[in-house]
Amino acid sequence: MIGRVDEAARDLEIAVNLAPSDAVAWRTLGKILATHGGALEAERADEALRNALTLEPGWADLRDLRDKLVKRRSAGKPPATPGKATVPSDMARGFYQKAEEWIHVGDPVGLGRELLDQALADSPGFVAAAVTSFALTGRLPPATLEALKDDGPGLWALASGVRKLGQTGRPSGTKVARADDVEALVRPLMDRAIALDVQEARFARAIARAATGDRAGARDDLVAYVAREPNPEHLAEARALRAELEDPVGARGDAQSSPLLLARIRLLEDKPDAALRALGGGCTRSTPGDRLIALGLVNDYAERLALARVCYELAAEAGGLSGGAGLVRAANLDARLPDGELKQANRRVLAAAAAANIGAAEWALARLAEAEGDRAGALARTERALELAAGNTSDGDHWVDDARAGKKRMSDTLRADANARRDRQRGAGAAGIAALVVVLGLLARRRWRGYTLARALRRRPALFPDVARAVGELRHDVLKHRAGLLALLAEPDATSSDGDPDRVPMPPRDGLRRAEPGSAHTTREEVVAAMTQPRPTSAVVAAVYDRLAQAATGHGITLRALEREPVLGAIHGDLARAEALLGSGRPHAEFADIDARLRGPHQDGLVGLLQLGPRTRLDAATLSSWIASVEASARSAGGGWTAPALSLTELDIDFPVEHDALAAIFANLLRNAQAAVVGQSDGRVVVRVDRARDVTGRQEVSLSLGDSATKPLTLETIEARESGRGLAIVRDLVREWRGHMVVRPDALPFTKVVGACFPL
Amino acid sequence: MFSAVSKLRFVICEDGSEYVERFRRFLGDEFDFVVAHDYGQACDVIDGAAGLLMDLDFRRTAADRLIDERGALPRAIDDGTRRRLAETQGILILRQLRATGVALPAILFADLDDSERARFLERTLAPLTVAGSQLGLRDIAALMRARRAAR
Repeated sequence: MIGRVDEAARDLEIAVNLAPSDAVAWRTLGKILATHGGALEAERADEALRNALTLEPGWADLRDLRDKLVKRRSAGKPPATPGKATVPSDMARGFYQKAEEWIHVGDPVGLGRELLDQALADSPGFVAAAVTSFALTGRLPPATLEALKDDGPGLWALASGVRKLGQTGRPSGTKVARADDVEALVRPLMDRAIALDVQEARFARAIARAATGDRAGARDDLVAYVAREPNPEHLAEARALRAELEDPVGARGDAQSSPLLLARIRLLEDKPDAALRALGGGCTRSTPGDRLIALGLVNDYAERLALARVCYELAAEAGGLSGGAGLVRAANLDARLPDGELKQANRRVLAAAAAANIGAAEWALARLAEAEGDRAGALARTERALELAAGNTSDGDHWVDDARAGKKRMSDTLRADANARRDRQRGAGAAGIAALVVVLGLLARRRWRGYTLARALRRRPALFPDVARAVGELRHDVLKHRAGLLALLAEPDATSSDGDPDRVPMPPRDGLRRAEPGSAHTTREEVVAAMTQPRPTSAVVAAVYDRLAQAATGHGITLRALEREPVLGAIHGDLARAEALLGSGRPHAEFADIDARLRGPHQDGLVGLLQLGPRTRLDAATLSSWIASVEASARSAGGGWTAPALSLTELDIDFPVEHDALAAIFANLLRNAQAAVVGQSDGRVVVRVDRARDVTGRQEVSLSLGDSATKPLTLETIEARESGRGLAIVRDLVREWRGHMVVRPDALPFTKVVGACFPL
Repeated sequence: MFSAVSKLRFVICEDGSEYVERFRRFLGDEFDFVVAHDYGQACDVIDGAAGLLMDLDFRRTAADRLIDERGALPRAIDDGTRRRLAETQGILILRQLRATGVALPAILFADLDDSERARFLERTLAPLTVAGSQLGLRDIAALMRARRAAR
């Protein structure tokens, strides 16, 4: 394993030497060394990572890796081996420690500086104290310079410390000069250290010379640096820098380095501010494209993303050689910008980058689309971004992972939306179907519910009187006197003024006089009048049926809709049809059919309804039980009782009256008879049940009570009585059931008979 | 078609005017018709008539113009009796006319659901034909024409 890692590291070092701008190679090398290298490899790993970051500042994961390396290096770093002159005495250390404490709190009384001077007085080569003194005074103590003049490592340590102060800026309350001044200040120290064979100083001077455009001096230092030791610490970096310095493309032919090289050099020194200064400030439309890219890189490196974005976008819009790089840089930066910052991105640049098949641009646009609610568009762009990213990105392009996660999230969301939409549609469909079912159910209920008259009569016999009255009215008033005239139009040779005016009336075969053309009244007009005045016969049927329906409701029964009632509905339908035909002047054939139905099936239907009336069979047993009931009631009330005799002309007789009504009629007749003979010592009561044909040929059944009372009683007397008592109840029930009361004398020992007759 | 001399006169007994109007209109060329709305009027116009055309139900006739089974005009009758008399008034009038010796052939326009009753009436009130509403005007005319032929 270790062997393979070393082999890979060697291959990568070769790769970065051959192509120093290969960010991926630097990245891979840095990660291998950082991950698998030991403490001794930490410095090389950090340099590789730094190179990668200078090329691709967006690889934020490398920053994290560098932080880890710093900790590891500090933990495993062998103690510095400065020269003897740099070793402070214990007293000097003590002074310095106290001085630091005072300086840390602002050194209000100047004691910190005094202690620092005492430390340096005791140990002039005390580098840390000298650097702190420089920070406070802006000057290097001469005694220190003198003490270190032959101590190369000590001088380099002093120069490094001072340079670092210059790089990190001037702390408040200090007198550190500008970075360039610091560079000028430490340059002699670096030169002296190099002269004393400190290769670190040589490498640093090479970078510094490159930054100032001293390509030759930088190359010399790099060559000397690489040649001095077989495997110097910054070998790969030095080679890369030398290659770039010698790159004819990057060379301008003048003394100045390219902006990118300048930036990279400064960034290799971790000096982004210096890089910015070297590059000449901010990004504007007038800034050259390569400088815009370089400025973008530096800002990107320093994590000033908004500024970096502007630089890249300007470079992209400027076009030219830097335009393509600008598109790529802008797209990659936008892809990793926070959502809020991304909204500020230049859409035109992103669109151009997407058109140039830059996956990061598609992802950035996908994010914007998603933020604007266009999920489908966002998903499509994300998929496109991932397609473009395949094989064209490294693991440092974290937007790819984000895009994959985004694709999954958006797919899930769209699927959930689709499911929700489908569920809503299904729900709406189901609701619609349910509503339709309810409506159809209501319509069906309205259409199909209810009883026919025949069924209603079977369930509620008490409805019969209403039905019988309705049937009688329809047969007499509608069918007989009005609809009967339809037969005149049903005859095949019937003519009228509303027929063909050119038709010559034929002599009637049956002798019926026909209406003459031009006469004031014609057959059709008469029939029309009969069928429609004072109101249409169909309307009369409907009104009669409405009355029946109300009566049925009173009995707890709902009748069907008229059009579905087999008897009255059929009559109504034919009458309505006939009325319509009369109004439209249609031919006669249908009148014949209607007339035939009215005289045949419809008449039979009405007669059939009358035959559905209730029948209550009266025989001796039934009468005895009814008598016993009345007797019990009378005795419990303390009244007298005269046992009635029974007189039945037949063993049993059916009465066209509902059982309860007939029982009530009998009970009241009997109670009336009993009351009439109260006080008579020889009072007589007889129950007579008879069936006979009256003078009109009509069969009647009668239920009557004879008594021996002497008090006269007439129908008029009964008619005058108020309802609700005794014979008035009988009167009303008999009338209800289409019967009539009789009061007539009877043979002795009886005086009269009071009873009820019902036609069969 | 038919001369005035040869026309037969029929008395129509009905509580309205439906029959007489219809018959006059469609059979007026062949027959004469006179209407009677109650028993009294029937008696007044019976002379010279060739026949009687009787409606059955006189529900539109006032109670004091109805006759009962005995041919009497009741003074005051209860509603049930009035209805009973009205429902069979045509028969009662014919019965009373027969009782007074009127033997004219008669047609009773009635839908009698009881065929036995029809036979009873045709037997006891002969000459009588009970014509149900299934008979058309042509059938009725044929019955009347038969009467003329018989004469």
